[in-house]
Amino acid sequence: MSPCPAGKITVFFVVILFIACDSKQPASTKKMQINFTDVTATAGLANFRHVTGAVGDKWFPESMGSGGGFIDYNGDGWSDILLVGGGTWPGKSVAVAPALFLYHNNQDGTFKNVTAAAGLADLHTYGFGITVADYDNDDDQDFFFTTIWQNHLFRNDGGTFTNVSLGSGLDKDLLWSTTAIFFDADQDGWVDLYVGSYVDWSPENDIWCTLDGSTKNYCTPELYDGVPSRFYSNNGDGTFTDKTEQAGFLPSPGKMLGAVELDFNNDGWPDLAVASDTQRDLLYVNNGDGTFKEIGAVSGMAYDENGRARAGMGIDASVVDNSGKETIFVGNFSKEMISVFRHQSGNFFEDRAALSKIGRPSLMTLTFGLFLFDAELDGDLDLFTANGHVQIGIEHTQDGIYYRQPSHLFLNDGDGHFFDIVPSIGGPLAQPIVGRGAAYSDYDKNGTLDILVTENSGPVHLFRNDNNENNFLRVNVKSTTGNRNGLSTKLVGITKNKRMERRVKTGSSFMSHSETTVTFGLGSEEALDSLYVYWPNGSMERFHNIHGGKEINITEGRGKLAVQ
Amino acid sequence: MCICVSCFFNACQKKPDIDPAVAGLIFQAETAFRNGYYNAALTITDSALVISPREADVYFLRGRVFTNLARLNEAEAAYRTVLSLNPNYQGAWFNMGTNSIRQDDLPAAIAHYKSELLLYPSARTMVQLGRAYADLGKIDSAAFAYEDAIKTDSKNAAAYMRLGHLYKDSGDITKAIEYATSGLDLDPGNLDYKYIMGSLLLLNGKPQVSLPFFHAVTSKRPWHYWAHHNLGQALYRTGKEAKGQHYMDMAKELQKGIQEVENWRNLANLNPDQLMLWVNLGNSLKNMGRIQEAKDAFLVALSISPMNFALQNNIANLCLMDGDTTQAIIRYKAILSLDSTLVDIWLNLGVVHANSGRKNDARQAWMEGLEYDPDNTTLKDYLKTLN
Amino acid sequence: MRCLIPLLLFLYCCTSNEKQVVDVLSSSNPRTNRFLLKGSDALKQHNFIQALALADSADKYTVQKADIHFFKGRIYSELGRFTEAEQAYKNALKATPSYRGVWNNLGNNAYRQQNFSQAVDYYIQEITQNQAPIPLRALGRAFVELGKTDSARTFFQKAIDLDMNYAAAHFNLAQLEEDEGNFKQALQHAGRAYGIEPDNFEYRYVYSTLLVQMDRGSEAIFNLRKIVEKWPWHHGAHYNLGRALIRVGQKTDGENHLEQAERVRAAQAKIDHLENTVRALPDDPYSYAALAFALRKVGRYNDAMHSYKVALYLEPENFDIWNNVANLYLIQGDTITALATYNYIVDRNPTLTDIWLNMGVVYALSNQKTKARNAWKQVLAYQSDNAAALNYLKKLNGN
Repeated sequence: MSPCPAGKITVFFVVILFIACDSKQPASTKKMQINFTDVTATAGLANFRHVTGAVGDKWFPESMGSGGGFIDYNGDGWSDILLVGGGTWPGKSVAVAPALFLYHNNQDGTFKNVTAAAGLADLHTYGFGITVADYDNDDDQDFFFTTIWQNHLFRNDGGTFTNVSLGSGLDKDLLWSTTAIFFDADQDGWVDLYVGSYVDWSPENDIWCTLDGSTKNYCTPELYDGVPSRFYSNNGDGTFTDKTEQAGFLPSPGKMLGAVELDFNNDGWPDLAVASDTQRDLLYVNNGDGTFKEIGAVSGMAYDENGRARAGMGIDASVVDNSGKETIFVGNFSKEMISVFRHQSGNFFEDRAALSKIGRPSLMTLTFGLFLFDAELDGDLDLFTANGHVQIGIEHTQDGIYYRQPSHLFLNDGDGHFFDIVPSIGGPLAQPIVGRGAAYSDYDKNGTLDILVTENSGPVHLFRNDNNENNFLRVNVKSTTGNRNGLSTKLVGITKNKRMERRVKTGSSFMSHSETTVTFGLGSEEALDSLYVYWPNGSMERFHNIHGGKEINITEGRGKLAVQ
Repeated sequence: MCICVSCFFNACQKKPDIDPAVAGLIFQAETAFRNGYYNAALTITDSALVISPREADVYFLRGRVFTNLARLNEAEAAYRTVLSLNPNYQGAWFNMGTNSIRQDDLPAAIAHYKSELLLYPSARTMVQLGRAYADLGKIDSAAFAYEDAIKTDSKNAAAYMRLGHLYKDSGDITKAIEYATSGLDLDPGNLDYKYIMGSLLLLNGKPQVSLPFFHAVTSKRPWHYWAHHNLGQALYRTGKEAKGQHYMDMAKELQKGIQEVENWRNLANLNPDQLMLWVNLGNSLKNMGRIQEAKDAFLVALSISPMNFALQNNIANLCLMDGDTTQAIIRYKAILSLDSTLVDIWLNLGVVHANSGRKNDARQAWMEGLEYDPDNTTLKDYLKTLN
Repeated sequence: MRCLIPLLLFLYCCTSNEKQVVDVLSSSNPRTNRFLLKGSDALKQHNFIQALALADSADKYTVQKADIHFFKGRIYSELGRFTEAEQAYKNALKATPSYRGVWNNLGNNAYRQQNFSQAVDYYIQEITQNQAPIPLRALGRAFVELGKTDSARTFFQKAIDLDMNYAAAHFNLAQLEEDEGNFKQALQHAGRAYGIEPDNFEYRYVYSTLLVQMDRGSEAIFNLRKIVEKWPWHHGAHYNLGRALIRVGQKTDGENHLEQAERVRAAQAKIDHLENTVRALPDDPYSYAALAFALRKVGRYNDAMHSYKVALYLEPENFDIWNNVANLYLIQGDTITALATYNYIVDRNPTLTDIWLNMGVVYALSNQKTKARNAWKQVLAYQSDNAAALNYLKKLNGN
């Protein structure tokens, strides 16, 4: 190739500088008026700090962070906030961190710390995640709390909590537990519990890992043996029985970090998709009797296109396009795409990570908390992810990857294509954080869904959704023949242009809990033309012409709606 | 169904003003093309264009050559030139349509076929149009096109077969068989149609009746995986399990060959300029006994590497396997005219002559070979047999 | 009359191997050239110490020091000793500022250290002097790692514009399009790369996985079978083959391959971890030896040899590693080099009875009974009660 004359070289340089920019948004992206405001401080949550107990030993659990979420602990219909404080290491640190923080919603956009008053201040442990449900069917919200040692079941006694772990059957396993999910596996009306276990770690067997050969860094899970997760069947009397093996949950690779309930084969029985860290993801198909068969590898959702297991943290699933089929989303490591697997037919799933346009933008981030929600109330489920690395100073060893990372908000165009709008809207979602847990709720009752994000060794963030141009309908269900929360209820809302399918469930995301109220974004429509409610017992109720702009309650069998 | 790449041969239209020299060149180019001398065909058309740069026939022929070479973009350009010179040129739109199907551009194919129909409505074009509609999933439009074809030409076998295929896909096997029967009656020697008929009968629960159709295919096309598979199935269902299993096992082996052929074919179509892909395609076809197709692939390879004597030799050998002794001899002689020292070619040439009873020619060829390799025992042995 | 003997001469088409680094420029001094060529051969065999020695020899006979520095840069790069490599390359630039390929190779090393921004700067320097397909493509790769996909695409395309048969650039473009969900374009480019280099199994693999992703798994089966034959350790190939087979109804066969994928995945995870370890501990011979062992176990002999040789560069007198190297030559069927290596070891330390034992076995298998006997006798000279040696000798004498 003959050398270029000097003038051309100059032009060439200019060209290089001009084009060295990030990928642009596709032309089809709608003009967005999405707005979130960080109201953490004004809401009274600024004093919260997650602690890792780190004193320089770089013990593996310190990189994990914790979850948090929403719970209506006092039954007033307003979402309160429950956060996991992390923990300290006995003998290593003088200060003893509180394990849990409960914030009461004052119904004016602010919260008040009521941890002590609610009976939660006495617990000190190294905590990770929460999941919320009415396990004893007494019409209030109980919760289960995972830790690195014994897990805890808290029974709600009318706004105060009693630790009923001892003797519940849930206190025997002293394993590093992460995420947990309440769901009624056998549809007997009592919610069962699936608890994720991670690895066999203890201070005694902590491994010395390094990135640069001289300093210790946080290890990654490949170095440890996984511990299989546990399934506990609810006996209906306040106790649970470990039925992991009988229910078909063994063998399993362990290292579980996320779980979501779905019904991909539409047989009315809840299935379970599980995100496993550096192991294959799992898909448990319900055999129609509360026992399960694991088919992840055969179904195609367990690995990436090269058969590689990926990180696997936060997870969620729902119908996100016109196919009517459920799609599973899983947050993964940096240099790994967020998994997007849509059910095809039979037991097969297709990999849509790249096709959905989520794949490429997610390569540079490490995703923990992840959930589907209707950010703009246009009827399409969008995807939010809380991101942040596990290695402090990663930017020094991996160019382009950062410890603190902005969130993603992928807006759905209605046909299963998603576009991250955070780079264009900026604001609090663009702020780099060490994101971990993520949950959503309409805490201020204006119809829009707000976001709660926890950080590892950092504050919590409450992002208020200010996109209230579109109409909405919010639905609470209460089952009378099944579990009181109506978990596993499927709701289908139909407007002129849209069919929206939603599911009442716990779990999802990363060690966090979102509200179980179902929100239908109506866009510019005044009303939902039809609402179909498929109860867990298989029966269906139908309602017509429900006007939006409100929250309603539906109790099974009553045949009518009650405005909240 | 097999792809029917039907390119119209359009001999020089009787135009009063066509230059006789050009007409002669077109004829020569056409001959070269038909014998697989693609580069020669293109070179001759270049010469024709020097004399008569606006001769549509020349561009049309070039389009056909490029199509055979899988250089579909150049083929399209040639056909468009034809149309710019003569918007009513019969076959140009048709051929473009066929090429669009090869490139999976079905909407374009439909548009092209429609353009052809506007000028020259014919059953053949209607069938192709229907096929494009069917591949696009527009079943009603496809059926309409096939029915139109039948109305236009009630003896168009392909139209009946394709309509039958549509009925089969929609579950109406009886009607499918009806149409397939009509198609086969019109073209009783067509092996593809026999295979389809056999498959329909099998699907319709008549395995015994399907057997002769599959046997007809497998005897003439020993590489036909689907026929072997279905024959195996039919035999199984008629209680001849051992024989059925035998054909199923054969099918399994053939399947590997088919997969290999399809792999190289897809790649060669994607990369028509890559020699080794055509060679690999040719070899895999040859291994399956698909001699004519193997030859076609090697011919394309030869157009990329014209001085490749090994390829020339392969093609010559395949001509021979196909029974075309004349072409084989022509090709051997062509190689030797470029390099007379190739002893193996003299050997082959001699064998062809000897097999055809031309002992003197055989002797001459082998003795020439010995000139270059006096110690060649094979040549000496062959000469002995003549004596 | 005899049948025609078809003489189907198979065509051999040289495929161009992707040159990650630019070849050594020929010097004007023939002696230097000779040493550099020999050095290049040594490098190909992973004989780093020898390569460096030959480079030093070449140095004595030339004034064009740039060639020597450049070659040394290549050696140190292969060793993963990036600081030394960088110094050598910079010395090359001092000697000849416009030396072709130096900036490119500096870029490659920065890339390997995941310092992609630095890599971009280096590649741009190279392109300024020498706008060739290789650095253009390399620049594209660096941009991919930085998430700048538009820029990456541009530079891959530029590389292709300069050389439309540049398979590697087509390959990278295919991967880029795949990540963007543009499968049709990805398949086109992957098919192009594979078509240009049909013997390249990596291209073949990506082409096949794209077909599987596009629900055309049946078309990929032929290629995936070839890949698992050649690379039985490749879990991705097993996995995709398994999926493709299940989709076409060959459930048992498919499940077998999925199971095989599981088996090799565990081994691959171990290799990944060890590769991270050697990256973090580049001066630790035992990390390289452990990596080599893991690679050998799965049949990646060439890669294993490379790791062993790096370990030996770090600790040349480690006879355990030398023994492993000899054994690896043996596994690959290179008995001569295996024996030469055993001899090299015992020359330096004749007391190593295990080596004599191994040597004896190899001689015996090659029917060189006298040499086998002598080797086992050597074992007994240092360890008179060595049961294995006594046994072998008994058998030999008995035969």
